[in-house]
Amino acid sequence: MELTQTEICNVLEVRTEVTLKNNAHFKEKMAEMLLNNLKDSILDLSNVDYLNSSALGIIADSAIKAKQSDRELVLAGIAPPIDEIFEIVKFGTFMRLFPTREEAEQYLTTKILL
Amino acid sequence: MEKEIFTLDDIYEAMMQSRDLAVEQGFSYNSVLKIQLATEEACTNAYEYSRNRNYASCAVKWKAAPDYLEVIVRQEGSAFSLRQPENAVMGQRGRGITLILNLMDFVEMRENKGFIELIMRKIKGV
Repeated sequence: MELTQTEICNVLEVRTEVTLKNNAHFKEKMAEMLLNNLKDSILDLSNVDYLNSSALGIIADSAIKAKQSDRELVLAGIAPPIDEIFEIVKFGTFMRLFPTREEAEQYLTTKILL
Repeated sequence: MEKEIFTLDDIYEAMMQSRDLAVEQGFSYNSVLKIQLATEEACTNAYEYSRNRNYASCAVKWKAAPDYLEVIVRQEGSAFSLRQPENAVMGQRGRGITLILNLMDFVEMRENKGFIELIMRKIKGV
């Protein structure tokens, strides 16, 4: 899991499946990303084929925490096969989901410009 | 084929067993992922429920047929609701059953003499 910063946002790129084996590590990295609450954040799941309900819980909780700091957490890489999981749990009703990182970055860039 | 669940490592092994069986049976990549995830969710729920109540271990078993794979998780206790919430769950927990019900093609709970079995079936080609 790689945490980086761009001019406009924090980005956590996950490159493995998220299971009970690494939920704790994922939670730590998400918390680390949100520590920088001067910027919005992107969780990039473009290279993730599998994530469990604990990971979903961590994401939901992180979205709420970001909002409490007047920031936004968005998801990128929401494409097959994981898009179906996010549809099942209706994450689109309370956070923004993008199929690609580029689209997520474009959204946050537009947000800053407005 | 049956496996007792005492630890998180046992859950992981059960997930891998489900995955391997699904691959052997020729399920699509997406279906293999769904079967693996349903196994993880059901075993984790049973493990946590059993631990919180100091029950003995829970167990998982598999039934492979030509056109489907069943994963059956058994634990002490009484039946619980298989109802899905209407709206999105915002908290950290509470999505496991929703995932199972949507990822698998058939889900049933059977209660018998102080034990419950959660039967989850994935049909090939669906």
